[in-house]
Amino acid sequence: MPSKATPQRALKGARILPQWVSTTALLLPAYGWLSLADFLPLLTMFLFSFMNKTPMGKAPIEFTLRHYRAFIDQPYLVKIAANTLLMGLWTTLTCAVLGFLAALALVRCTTGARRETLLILILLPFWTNGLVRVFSWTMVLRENGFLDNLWHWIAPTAGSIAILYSREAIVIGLVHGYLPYRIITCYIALVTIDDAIIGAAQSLGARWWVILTKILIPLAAPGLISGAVLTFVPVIGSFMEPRILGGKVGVTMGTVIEDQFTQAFNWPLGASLSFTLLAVTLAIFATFSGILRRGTGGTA
Amino acid sequence: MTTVSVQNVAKSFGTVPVLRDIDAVFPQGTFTSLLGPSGSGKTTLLRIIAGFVTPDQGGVTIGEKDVTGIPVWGRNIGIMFQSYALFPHMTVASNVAFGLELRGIRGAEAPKAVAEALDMVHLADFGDRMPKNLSGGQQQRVALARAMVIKPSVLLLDEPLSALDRRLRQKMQVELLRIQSQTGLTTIFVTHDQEEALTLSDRIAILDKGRIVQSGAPEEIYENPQTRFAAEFLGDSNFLTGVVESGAVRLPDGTAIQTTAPLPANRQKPTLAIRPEKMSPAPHDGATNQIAAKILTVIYAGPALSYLLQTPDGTRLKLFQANRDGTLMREGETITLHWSPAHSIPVQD
Amino acid sequence: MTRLGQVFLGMILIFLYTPIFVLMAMGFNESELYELPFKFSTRWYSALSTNTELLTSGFNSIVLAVITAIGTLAALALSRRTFRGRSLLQLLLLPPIAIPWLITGTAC
Ligand SMILES: Nc1ncnc2c1ncn2[C@@H]1O[C@H](COP(=O)(O)OP(=O)(O)OP(=O)(O)O)[C@@H](O)[C@H]1O
Ligand SMILES: [Mg+2]
Repeated sequence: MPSKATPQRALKGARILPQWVSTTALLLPAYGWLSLADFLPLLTMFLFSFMNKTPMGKAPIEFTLRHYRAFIDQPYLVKIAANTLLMGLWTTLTCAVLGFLAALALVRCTTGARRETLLILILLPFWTNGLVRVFSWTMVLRENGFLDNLWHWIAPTAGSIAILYSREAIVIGLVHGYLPYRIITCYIALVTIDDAIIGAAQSLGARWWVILTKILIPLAAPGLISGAVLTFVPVIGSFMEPRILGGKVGVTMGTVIEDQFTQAFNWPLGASLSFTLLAVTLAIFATFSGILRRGTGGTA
Repeated sequence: MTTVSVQNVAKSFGTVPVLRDIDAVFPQGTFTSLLGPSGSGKTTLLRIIAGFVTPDQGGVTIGEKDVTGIPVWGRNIGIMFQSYALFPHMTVASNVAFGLELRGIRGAEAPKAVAEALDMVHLADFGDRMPKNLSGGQQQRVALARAMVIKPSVLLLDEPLSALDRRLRQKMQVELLRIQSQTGLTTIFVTHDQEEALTLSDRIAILDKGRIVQSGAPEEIYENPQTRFAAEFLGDSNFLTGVVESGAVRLPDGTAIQTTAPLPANRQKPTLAIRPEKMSPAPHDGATNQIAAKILTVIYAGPALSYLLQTPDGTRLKLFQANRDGTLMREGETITLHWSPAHSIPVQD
Repeated sequence: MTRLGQVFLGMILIFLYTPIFVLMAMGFNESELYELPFKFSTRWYSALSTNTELLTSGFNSIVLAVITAIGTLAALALSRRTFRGRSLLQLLLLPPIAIPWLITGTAC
């Protein structure tokens, strides 16, 4: 698709500068910043991951691959990894369903100023501090917290519904963090679908579930999938939500890695675990981008 | 192959009335145009017939069936939008097959019906293309095939041709007429283009501010407009106002205008509509229905000439003439206009 | 159907804002440990006004905005232009998202 737009765009800019100049100009600041703030540190970390211990003090350093065998040497890591993937899956799935439905409701059931207000209200929590947001959930979910009190007020004789320090609590916190982003990406995908297309389908005899499954979801699919990947990837690396909301059950790859840096002071292991995680993520991304290309390529 | 009728329909959006007292019959097999200015409620009426909009009062019947409470998907209608509205993620053939699948038509029967429909719109070889790889006219024809393949009881079109250029639009008009007369499908066509309405329709219904002000055959409306609005909106018209005196209308300057149509009682002040092409420059011979006017502007339009004139009391008039001998009359000349009494039509304001 | 959608959106908003409102309310709570029952106090909000750390974070936010703008430029180029190495550049965007930010922080 971009290749089609290029000739017209190029025409406009052609008089002043060749296109590669402007492309470079657009990309340079971001990738310059990324190399300074991310790639350089990552490269250092990559080196660390092959060292036998944290490079501090005078002790000689040897290079080794043993940290990359962690999953074999320490089988409990496999279980943690599985839990982490499960957490990512649940969060992504919940976000996908809620985000899509909310976006659908925005597009089909609201108009004008009300819709704009709702969009802003949905986006606002996204800009609050992540740590603060997660911490607020502890106050909502814990025993004698907001929800628990509300529940006791409604049903005084029933037991507690506090779910702090559980997997559900982690997923709730993560969903809360990523839902606004997912609603907006789904909204953008849905709002571009012409009403007349839905009208045409209805006139041909389609009821709402046919419209949903045959028209709306296929047309929004690229947005849905890229949104899912961009939720899943950071979620499986997260450690703040698992730690604060999960307590003892909140051991994930993210927290294990964090522990290596802040508690165990085993940077090489932490680094090698992160790069293993990155490899898994890239594999997932590669799979989905393949599907995406086939899905949106059309006649190509 | 069904008569469609609308009974006593009214619709408001918020407090704004958009349609009032709409009663209309679209007889079986006819091509009816809903013609009116922007905002007159044409689309809303069409969407009520389709079932996208629920009327505040009144009902719709398609054939024998009262469909007022039936949603769009249960009405078996074919519809075409200005924006084509093809499903962008499906091939042309899948677009056309969509309605068939929903009717449970599968197996060998479906591809055959799809091929026939595409053949009808001369796109037999385009089944495997994606909509984005078609021109606007081709997309519109796919939309037509998609609407027709389900054998709808009525075809609804909301300005389907206005996104096309002039040449293509005329070609599509011919296509549309051919297909409509071949299938004998009751068709309702929304347009604000009077020329399109005149050339395509068996019947025209003129809408103004949410009301149908006149409906009938194009010729009937054109030759006998009942209101000033209808006379002005379908074609062009001159208007003269005077007082009824002994069976004629006397203009302020004393000229008596004869009509063949019955006039209101004496002392009433009717408006007369006279089509600009029904007037002709005539010599002074004392005949009735003549009026002197000075030529203000001459517009040369190829096959026709159009003059803008002014009478001594300031009324502006238009005169259309076929171009036989070029421009014979010049700006500034004063000429006498004459027309037959049959062509002065009393209209309501 | 329209009603249903609006109710659903209302529920989403409640979900999104519950923790935020609870937190704001807790700011008025006397207890330091966010304990219930609630005792009203403006103690924490007055503490806020003399907090210099907050001023620093204001500056940080501006830095963040600049970085976001930089990112937008790149997104523009990546989505609108085709050039050699585009896929590679896109791929390079993933590690910063995928690797816990703590690590990049530690390495600096
Ligand atoms: N969904 C709606 N909500 C509020 N007002 C509406 C809605 N649909 C139409 N209207 C109003 O109803 C009036 C008639 O609209 P409609 O679309 O039927 O006009 P139209 O005759 O089709 O005009 P056009 O030639 O411009 O398409 C307009 O004033 C329009 O603003
Ligand atoms: Mg309209």
